[in-house]
Amino acid sequence: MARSCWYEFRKGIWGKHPVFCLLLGLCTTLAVSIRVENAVAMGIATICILSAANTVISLLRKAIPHTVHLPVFLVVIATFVTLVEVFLKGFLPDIHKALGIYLPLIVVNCIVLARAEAHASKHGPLSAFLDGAGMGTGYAIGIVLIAVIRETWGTGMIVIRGVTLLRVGILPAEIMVLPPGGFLVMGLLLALFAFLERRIR
Amino acid sequence: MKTFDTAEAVKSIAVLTVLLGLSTFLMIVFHDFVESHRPKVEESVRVILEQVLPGAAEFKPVFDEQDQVLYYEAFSREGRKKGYGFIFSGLGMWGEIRYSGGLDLDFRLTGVKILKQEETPGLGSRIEEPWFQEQFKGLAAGELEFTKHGGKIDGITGVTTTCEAVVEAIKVEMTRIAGYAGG
Repeated sequence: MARSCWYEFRKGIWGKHPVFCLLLGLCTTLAVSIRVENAVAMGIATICILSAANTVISLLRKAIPHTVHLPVFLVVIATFVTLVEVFLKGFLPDIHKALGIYLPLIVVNCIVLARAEAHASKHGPLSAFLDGAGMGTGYAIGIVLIAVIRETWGTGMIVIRGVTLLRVGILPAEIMVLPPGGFLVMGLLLALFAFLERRIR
Repeated sequence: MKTFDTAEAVKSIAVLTVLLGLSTFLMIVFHDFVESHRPKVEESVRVILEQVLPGAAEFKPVFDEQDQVLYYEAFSREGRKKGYGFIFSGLGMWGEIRYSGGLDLDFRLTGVKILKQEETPGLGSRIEEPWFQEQFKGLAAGELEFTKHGGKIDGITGVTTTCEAVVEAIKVEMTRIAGYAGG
């Protein structure tokens, strides 16, 4: 049991990574990965929403009529997204402003709906919670990794909450903080992970 | 052919209704909780203008014939005239940008603050960063140019349209106030 619990959590980070293996949630991954600060906030928000939504959907799974299962999933997900948004707007208004439209867009982030459909609606609450937490963590790692590369490459430094964490002496490439830079980094990372996977096998 | 299953339909409607009710209730309760606990920000004219006009304590609105506020005259605690304050809105790339700012008696900027904006998150929204707004301090309307055109203001990478809109809006507002106040 302990081993399968660990697997439910770990598979979102290594094995079935939502961004690099399943290619889900790319819209927010590319859009919010301009700055590390915003990527971290987005990652944490997604972890909270995914694990909470997964747990509730798993608890409700026997009461949900099949014909309306998608609307029910969306109501649950949208509720948690709204709660997180209200919380950020009240207590961390600057983060709320920086995330802008991408925060409410978590409702239609396909990672969340896909995990509800593929996992939470078929497994018990503990398993669903671990799956959500793992997938959320995997997403957070992915988006922060892309943001670290893009912010460093695009601006020559990493600034979080006004503190400069890293400064490298390169000529910043403007394109990295623009949309094409997101696709470029995403493509390079996908190639790298595909290569590593093949090497391990 | 599949027949219409009344029991299933009723159950679907019931489940969705109950769930939506619960969801709405939860959101309202949580919203009220956050509203009553979050740090309150006072947004009076005085509070806004004090931040861009250091040393000023009193602000008197100057009206036009239609009783619209043209600008604010700023006075120190001792009643000496310090300059002019303004709060206005202009268009950015995607929507409204709201500014506050102050001018000294020579119509040079004492400070500029972006109060509200709806620009691209992570790109245009960076005009809210303090270093960008600091650059305007001490400049006259004629000096509001980007460094790439020989001026004193550094733009932001990838944010040309928004930056140009900000600089242009502030320049127009400064010229307007100087016109009314006789500069």
